Amino acid sequence: MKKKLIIRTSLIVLLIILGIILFVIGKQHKVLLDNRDLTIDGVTYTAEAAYEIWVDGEKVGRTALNPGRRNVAYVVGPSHEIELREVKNGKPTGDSIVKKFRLSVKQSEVIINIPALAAGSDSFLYEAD
Amino acid sequence: MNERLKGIIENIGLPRLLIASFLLLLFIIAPFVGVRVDTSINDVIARFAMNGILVLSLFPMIKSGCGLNFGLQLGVIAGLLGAVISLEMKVTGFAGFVLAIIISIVFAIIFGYLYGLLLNKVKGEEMVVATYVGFSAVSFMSIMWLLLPFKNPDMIWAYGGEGLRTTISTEGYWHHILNDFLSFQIGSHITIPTGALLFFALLCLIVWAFFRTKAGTAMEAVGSNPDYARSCGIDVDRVRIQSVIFSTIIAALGILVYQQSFGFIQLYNAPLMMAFPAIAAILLGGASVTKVKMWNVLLGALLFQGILTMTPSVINNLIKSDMSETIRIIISNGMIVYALTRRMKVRS
Amino acid sequence: MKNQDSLKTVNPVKQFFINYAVPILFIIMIVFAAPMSGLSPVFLINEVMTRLTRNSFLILSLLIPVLAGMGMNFGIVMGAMAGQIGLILITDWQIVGVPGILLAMLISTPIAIVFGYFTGIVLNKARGREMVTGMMLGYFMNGIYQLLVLYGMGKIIPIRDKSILLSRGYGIRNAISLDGIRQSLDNVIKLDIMGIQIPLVTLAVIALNCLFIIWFRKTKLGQDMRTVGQDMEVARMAGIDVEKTRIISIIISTVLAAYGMIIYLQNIGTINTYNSHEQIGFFAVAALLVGGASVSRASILNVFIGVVLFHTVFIVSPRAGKELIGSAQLGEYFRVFITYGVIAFSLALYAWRNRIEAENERKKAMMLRRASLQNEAEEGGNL
Repeated sequence: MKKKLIIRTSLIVLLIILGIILFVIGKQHKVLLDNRDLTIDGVTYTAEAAYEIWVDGEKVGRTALNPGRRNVAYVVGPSHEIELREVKNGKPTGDSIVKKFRLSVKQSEVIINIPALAAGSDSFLYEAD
Repeated sequence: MNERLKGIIENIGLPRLLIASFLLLLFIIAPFVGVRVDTSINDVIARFAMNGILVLSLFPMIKSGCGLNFGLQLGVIAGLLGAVISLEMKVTGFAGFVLAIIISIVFAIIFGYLYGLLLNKVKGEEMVVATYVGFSAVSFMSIMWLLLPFKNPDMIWAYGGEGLRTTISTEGYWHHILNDFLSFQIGSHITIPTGALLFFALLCLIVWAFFRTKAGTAMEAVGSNPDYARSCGIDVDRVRIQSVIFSTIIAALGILVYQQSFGFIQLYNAPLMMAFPAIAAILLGGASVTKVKMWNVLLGALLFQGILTMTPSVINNLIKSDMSETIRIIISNGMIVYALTRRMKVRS
Repeated sequence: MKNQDSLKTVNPVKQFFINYAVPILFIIMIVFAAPMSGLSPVFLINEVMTRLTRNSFLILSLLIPVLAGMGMNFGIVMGAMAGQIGLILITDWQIVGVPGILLAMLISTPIAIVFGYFTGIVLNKARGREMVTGMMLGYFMNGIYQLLVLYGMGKIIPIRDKSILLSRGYGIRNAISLDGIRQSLDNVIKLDIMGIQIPLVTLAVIALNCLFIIWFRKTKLGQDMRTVGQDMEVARMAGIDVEKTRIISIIISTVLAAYGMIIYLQNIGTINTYNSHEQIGFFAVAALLVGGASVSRASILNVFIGVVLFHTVFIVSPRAGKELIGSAQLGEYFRVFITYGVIAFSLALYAWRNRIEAENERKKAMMLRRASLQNEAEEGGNL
């Protein structure tokens, strides 16, 4: 009788854990990609270059993201990779920056600031209001 | 004391008690939330006269042991046929209504006979079979409403369309023909639809009187104890068919009264669910799957229509959102489920 | 007397045609309507394949209550409601893809168990009237579902995603688009054989359900259910808890229906919040009956034959109707008529046969008694 109860309880706990795992790996996040000027903690990052943006190995948008523009990508799960490939006059310069980032389940909508990311700042990602 | 209270509750039935007190509560709250009691009473009476006959139509079949008539739609279809054919013949006024009644009765006899034959073959499973016979009849008639060659421009789609309209106005034909007959006002807001009430009363009287005749008692015997009835030399199957025809005719008349009061003939899917509110009403009035008395019909129709009238107006004013449809679904279907789970005595 | 004779002299061929009247009728309809519809075979097969993956799981959920002698479980609409609640929640939480589908199933499971348990208790009280009671219970629970989804969600149950709420701020919209999980189960592995799309994973899930049912029938509980289905009194004497067994059969059916509804809706890609579940019961039951099942006997094969026949008629009949009479609306009404008609016909046929059998039993018993009385009298005379 007691054994049965233990098995049942652990089964329920297991299912709840499974639910949490599914929640985390299935959570969709909306990522806004801003190639715009941004000031964080007194440091200003200015948008100057155009980039071709790849998120998790997929290109975002058909063309490069010019300064002052915004694009949007939908990603699923907690950990992701973003790659910026600089574009000048419609041609790739060969420069590229790869950055990994993590998203928590609470972050439904986040903004990635491209100039901040390109400058190597760690605070390139913040939550959209 | 406690025992006695329990006995009283048992006698009246818990759901009935709950709903009656709910209705009373609604009437008490009504003035405080800005709902006029007299208009409410007016609506309840109008709807009682409008729907009562449909509730009454269940009576003969419960008496004869055929159970709740989930195939009430067959009678409704007979009534609809009567209505559209009388409109097609462009007979207006009282004559038109009488014509609709006559045609409806003819169809109701035919449908009722066939339906009764079928129900005799499926004894014990009448209700579930009847439900789907009713549903398929409504969907079959949807096809017919499209195809039948009706010509009256008041009934067919105005331009390019085919078949009959989904709602046809009875205006100019026999709109309110019964409601306005001898109707009178009480105060400024209560109008008594005397004609419709009288017609309902007349039908109740006919049914009541019928069950005092020899044929009526035979029908009751078939319902309460078919084996005994058989041994008395009663042709059980024949009597059951009679009861089904009787029920179907009353349902046909019921929908005609409904239409003249409502002002529209509703076709296509409108009759699909019509059996359920009528069944819920008679159960609310105290009937069961096997037992029914005349006061069950009257009380049931009154309580049920009371709830349907009062909940939208009062609840809407109270919480500022329209929950009436949801409450209607819960009460009417809950009542039917409750009745189906009551234990009934075993019949052969 | 007449009944008995007619039943005894019926030859096997005639018996076969009476038993399978509905499937045969459907095959005839397809043979006539398919060429008339002018649809290409590849298109037709693709459509049937879609319906097969969409509906089979739901219809399989009807099998276990039949085993337990409870007839067609019209109460699967409650499972469908549970599935929809799961889908609404994952849509709000923005959980997408296969994890989203699995999470929706996980959420719907306890809800479906509660619904199934409640249904089981009610049906135990309505013995002999399970089908009509199950159907009415479905309608009743639809009211509760509306209360929860139309008034509770966004008020008592927090909903963050404003786009799925009504403009008044609470209550779920009439239609929700399931962009996040649309066909994501179907698309995990999709084969293309000569233009015919085969969603392998969905089919595998359906196969898994079949295996579960086959396995379940062989377990102790499955055997008990069969015994309960055949004769409740015998089962009770054998020490089986009849009430509990019946409740479990309904719980399993309701949970499977919830999963079935999720699979169905991920294929369609939108929920009609207040309508999607309503018709499910009718369509599933009708399809199963078209597959040659009856109230007391239904197999996995019936499910697949049923889906193919029923949906082929659904696909070709509007087109054929349009070619024949020139009205598409007519085809729609025809579909509904066929669905209800099939259920009415099959249930009536079943009840009719049952009655004839019962009457024969009674007459046989009477004749035996008369014969034995006669024997006694003769023996008495000899003495």
